[in-house]
Amino acid sequence: MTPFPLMDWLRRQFGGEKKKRSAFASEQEAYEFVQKIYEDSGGVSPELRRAYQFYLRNFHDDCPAERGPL
Amino acid sequence: MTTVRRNVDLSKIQFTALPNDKVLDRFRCGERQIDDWAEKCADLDRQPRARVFCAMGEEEPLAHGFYSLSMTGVSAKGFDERGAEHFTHSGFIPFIYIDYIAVREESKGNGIGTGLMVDALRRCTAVARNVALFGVALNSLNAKTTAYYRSLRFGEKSQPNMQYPLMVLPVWTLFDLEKIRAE
Repeated sequence: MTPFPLMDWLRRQFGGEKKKRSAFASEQEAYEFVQKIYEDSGGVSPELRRAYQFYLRNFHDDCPAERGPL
Repeated sequence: MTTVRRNVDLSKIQFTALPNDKVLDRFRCGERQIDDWAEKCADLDRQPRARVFCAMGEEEPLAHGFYSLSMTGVSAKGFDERGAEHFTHSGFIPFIYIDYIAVREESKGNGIGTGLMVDALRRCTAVARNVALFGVALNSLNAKTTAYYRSLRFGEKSQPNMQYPLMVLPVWTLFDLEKIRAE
């Protein structure tokens, strides 16, 4: 016998079905969206390149991959 | 009240994990939503629901600016359900979210925001080398920032009734960016 899905019932009672539409219908749609942005943009824009070069010129260029002690 | 801008020596700036609870005290950047969030981001960092990184001057008690990274976007609670928008019904979209990125009013105009953005992207790249991601995402708060993110080639995902557009930088752009160092 399937147990009574209490959580599902509660979710429906308290607005679970009203969940807002998400930005993407699926992971596949998100992947294709990102792929298209990349193809259309051609990668690094002149502005992003300038920003990156500004960073390298002016700041300590360490950006450790690890965050340090937690 | 007029804010007096100050010149900041960028060579003294370090981008570091949130060093203590006090560095974001009295944070004002001109966006009230961010200022409010700055007050509680130390708690979010501890939980950990976000990772906060600051632009710190040498021996200065207050951060010039900060950015925050997470895998789910900002908590939906109290923020127009922005966080909840990132999930699909079928699963999780693997983005790193820049929850917020901001510079104090008095420190603006020095390039610290640019530094914070690039540092955030570099940190995301380090993650993307080890964990599969589609890219970096954020919600732009106003038309000016939307135009700026567009110039960096963030793509915009338009949605009906979405107050803050979701903008995404593809993971391949992150990898391309790192190649500039070798040039």
